[in-house]
Amino acid sequence: MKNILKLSLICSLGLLTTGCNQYITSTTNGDVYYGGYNRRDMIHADVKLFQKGTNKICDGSVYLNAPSRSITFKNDRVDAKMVLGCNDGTLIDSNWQLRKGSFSGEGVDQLNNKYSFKTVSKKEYKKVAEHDKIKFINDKSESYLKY
Amino acid sequence: MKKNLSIFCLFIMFLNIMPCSAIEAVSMQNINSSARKLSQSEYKYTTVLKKYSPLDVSITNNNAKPVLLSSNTEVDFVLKDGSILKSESRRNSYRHSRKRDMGRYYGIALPGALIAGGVTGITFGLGAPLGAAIFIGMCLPMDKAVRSNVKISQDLFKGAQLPISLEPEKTYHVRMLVPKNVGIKKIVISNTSFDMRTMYAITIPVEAL
Repeated sequence: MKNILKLSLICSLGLLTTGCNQYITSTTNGDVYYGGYNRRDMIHADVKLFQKGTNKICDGSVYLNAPSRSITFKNDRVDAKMVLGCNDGTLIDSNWQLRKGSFSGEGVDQLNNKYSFKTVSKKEYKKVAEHDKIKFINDKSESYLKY
Repeated sequence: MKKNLSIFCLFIMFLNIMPCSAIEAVSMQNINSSARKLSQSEYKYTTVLKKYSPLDVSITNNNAKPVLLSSNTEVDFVLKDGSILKSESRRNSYRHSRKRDMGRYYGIALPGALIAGGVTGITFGLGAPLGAAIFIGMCLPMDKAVRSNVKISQDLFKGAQLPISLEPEKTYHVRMLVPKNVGIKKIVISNTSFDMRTMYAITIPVEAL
């Protein structure tokens, strides 16, 4: 009985921690962006991004160039592409370089503003963020990226 | 008094009409575009072909300035009877055209191999190789499905993605997936602009089949 309880506790702890978000920030030209991504399947992850101090919200997805079984996408030395649409009409197109343990990426929007993304720990994220929890949308028709 | 009222009414009507005419899409000038259907030999993903017919769209910007797309940009298919079909997002078309992969055979593979291996192992002494054969036979199709799904997704993300801006004197090739057995006349890409203020629409005629 004791063993079963112990096992179920470990299993539930494991389940609780599997769905964790990875947090990203971008600070360029004084604009601070923060957000996170969450793996959807072996190739895609959902992304959400907020601009600090404004109502600007972006969302979109990451496509990996090779399938990954890692939940954080971090173990894979592959390139990825991230496309985001925002509620003020901006489109952000960025390339990622995934490396073991971390990733960084550079992006451009259609007005040639530059963004540089990097993963941060939850501690660092909480210093910047105004939203404690990120809610990812399930229905793609609500997304800002229409096509 | 009556006259004043009627003038007031006319004024209100005029005000109401104004934004309507402003909203109506003005077509973008100096854009060369064409669309043609890809043949069976040019497109090889059979699971996609079951639901969609792929179009190869080429857009050339002959303006001096880059044409900017925005997150309000939508792709509409105008059908032969005049009705409009909204294009699906790449995520939805991927969802509809992929093979089922995760755990399709995995649930049967392990217990199946154990039972088959155990039963025959007692009587014939063939248990281990038979069990292994069943396990591999069940797991391989899943792996294959995953790989082909990755290729479909990669193709969608590389080929079926509109650029964020159309640079001058450059030709872009974009693949679009139209639902099968739908007669399509033209493609309209709405809400494109030079300065993100005045919005234009790009109309692409589809080659007659």
